[in-house]
Amino acid sequence: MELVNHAFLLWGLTIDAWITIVTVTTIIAVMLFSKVRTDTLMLIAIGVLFATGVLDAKEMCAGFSAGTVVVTGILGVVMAGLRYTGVLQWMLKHVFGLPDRYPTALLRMMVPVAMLSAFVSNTMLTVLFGNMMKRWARKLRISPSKLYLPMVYAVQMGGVCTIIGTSTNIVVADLYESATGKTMNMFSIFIPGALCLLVGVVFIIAVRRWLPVRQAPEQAFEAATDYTVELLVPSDNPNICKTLGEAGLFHVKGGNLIAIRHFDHDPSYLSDDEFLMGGDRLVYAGQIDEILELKETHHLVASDHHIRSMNEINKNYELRIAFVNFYSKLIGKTIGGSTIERDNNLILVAVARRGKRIEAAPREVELQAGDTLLFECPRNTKTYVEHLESMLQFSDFQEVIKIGSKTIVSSLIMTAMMILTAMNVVTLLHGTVLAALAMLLFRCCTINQAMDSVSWRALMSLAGSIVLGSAIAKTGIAQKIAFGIISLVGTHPIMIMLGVCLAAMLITQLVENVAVTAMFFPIMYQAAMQVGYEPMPFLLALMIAANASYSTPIAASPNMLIYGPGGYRFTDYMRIGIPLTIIVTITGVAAVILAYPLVKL
Amino acid sequence: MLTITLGEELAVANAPALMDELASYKEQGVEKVVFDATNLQYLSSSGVRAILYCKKYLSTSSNIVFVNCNKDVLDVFDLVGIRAYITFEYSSSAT
Repeated sequence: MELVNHAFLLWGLTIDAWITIVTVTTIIAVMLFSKVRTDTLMLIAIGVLFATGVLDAKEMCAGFSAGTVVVTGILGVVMAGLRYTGVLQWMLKHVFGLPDRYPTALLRMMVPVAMLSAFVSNTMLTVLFGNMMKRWARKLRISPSKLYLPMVYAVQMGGVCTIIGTSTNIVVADLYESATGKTMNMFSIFIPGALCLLVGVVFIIAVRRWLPVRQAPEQAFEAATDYTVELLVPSDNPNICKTLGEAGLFHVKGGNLIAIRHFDHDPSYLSDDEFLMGGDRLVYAGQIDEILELKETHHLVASDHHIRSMNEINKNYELRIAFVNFYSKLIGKTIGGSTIERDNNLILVAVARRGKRIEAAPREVELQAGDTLLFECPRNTKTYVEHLESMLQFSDFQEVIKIGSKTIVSSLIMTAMMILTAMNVVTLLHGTVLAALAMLLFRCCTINQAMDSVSWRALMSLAGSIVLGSAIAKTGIAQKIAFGIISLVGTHPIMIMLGVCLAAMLITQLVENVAVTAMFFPIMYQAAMQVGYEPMPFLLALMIAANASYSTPIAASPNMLIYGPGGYRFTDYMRIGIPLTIIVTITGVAAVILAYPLVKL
Repeated sequence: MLTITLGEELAVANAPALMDELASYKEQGVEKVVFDATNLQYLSSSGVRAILYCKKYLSTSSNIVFVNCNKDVLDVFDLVGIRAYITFEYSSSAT
């Protein structure tokens, strides 16, 4: 096998190299054109490389035992401590405040968010601050879309400032350690990262008028959610024995049937096939005057308290808003054509698109990414929110957290971890393990909260990316591409750095940045080695370029998370994201060159 | 003719099974369905749903017969408004 592998060379690459190329290009194509999860794709790719003999067992498992991957997992526990002791809520109240002017609001929001993002997972921070932004926007009386994009840009720019702030930095640090045996300090990237952040924040504030004003998706439901109408079916109604669909009571003019309750407590099914019985109570949401016409047209009667606030409809139910994820399986389908309502005891009340309620029957609306759905749901909804997260992103989940002494304790633990690891008193792994133990010991979070805070999917993607990066380096692909780049841009180190960064920056707008980093690390490393330079500054420049994924909603998870809640359009990201990407990348590369002079080996 | 003997209650616990059973007779030309309700004490909306299913898909010519129905069950039929669609019979052994 070994003989064949070395004997068979096509364009100077071995069979192993070609298998790796096909595998990597396939997963990138699948990422671009399908809805398959990144972690799943990474695991499949690793499986293929192992099964075909490109990777041995030790290499296949290397990513999963990588120190930085373990650190990322344990950091989830530290973050749980911060989250459940109300540090973030404290920030919202005392740091964000209620500024009078919009530029001041942007500054007061972006700087602390970016600082926190240097140590907290970008995705987790976007989720936590996402709900806060909505409430803050309401208090500031501005559209949430004026805050969401600056928030995720701040999250991403802040994440670049430390090695642990973002997955791409973690991948680079780990692959660098594997290749050289040297570890990167947590703040190796701080100077260029902080400069990029400074320039980025100033730029966003300067071009704040480019940020779109989009109607908050929730506003589309105001007419539907204020009131519901409950109508009673008398025992002599001529439609008894018919189904709701046959009786014309399922889809009605001006509203939607959101609940049906029979005379007893047996479950009823909100379907056009459900039979109408005397004594039924039909609950509609929508335009009251039009729904009340059903009394005349369908021989219904008003129940004793027939117009009620949506909040008092049922103490066991509440209204929740959900957004269709960018890669949701529901895209192109209808809720009526799925079993999602019945499986999860949900009732779809209305659908809105780009801030406007769709007047068609909600269950028959073909869904698009970013659509806003209004559901009537059982209270205590954590279970189905998690269960459905691959399809729908629920908002309005408010954690009521008491701010007290534990808030200070968790902040002190986090600060101690940062200082001790930055000063190399303890290693990053030791620091995070100690901080996680302290969070649990001082009961800043429970074991369950800690475990729930670890993003296992992100860890899988991270580990998979590291393995893929190793395969690209091992099979000689990186060396080959590095030679290609050198022959294209010459042997000047800055040109090589710019050439690879430009390619990484372009591809990261379309593909998850972790995968881009895994692909470009070995290329950048080999290119630096080929021209005889210490690779560290080249890799720091790569971190900046691979993280500059601001121009599309699909470029990074935080971008996707705000697409629905912000009511954005695809082009909204491009308008401010393209110039921001260019400015940040140029600033970052320049800062790297100035802060870390290129040294010959 | 299809004869079904009901237990003490027809409710959410057993009505879906009855509907599944009735579904197996769909489009088999059943002209009359007789429910022996001698033991039936409680009928819930899930049970009513099963009876309406029977009327819609099995015996559209209203040949649904309930034998030995007690007063509580009759009250349910009155409430949901389907008494007129059912024939009631009482056998001599009924108490």
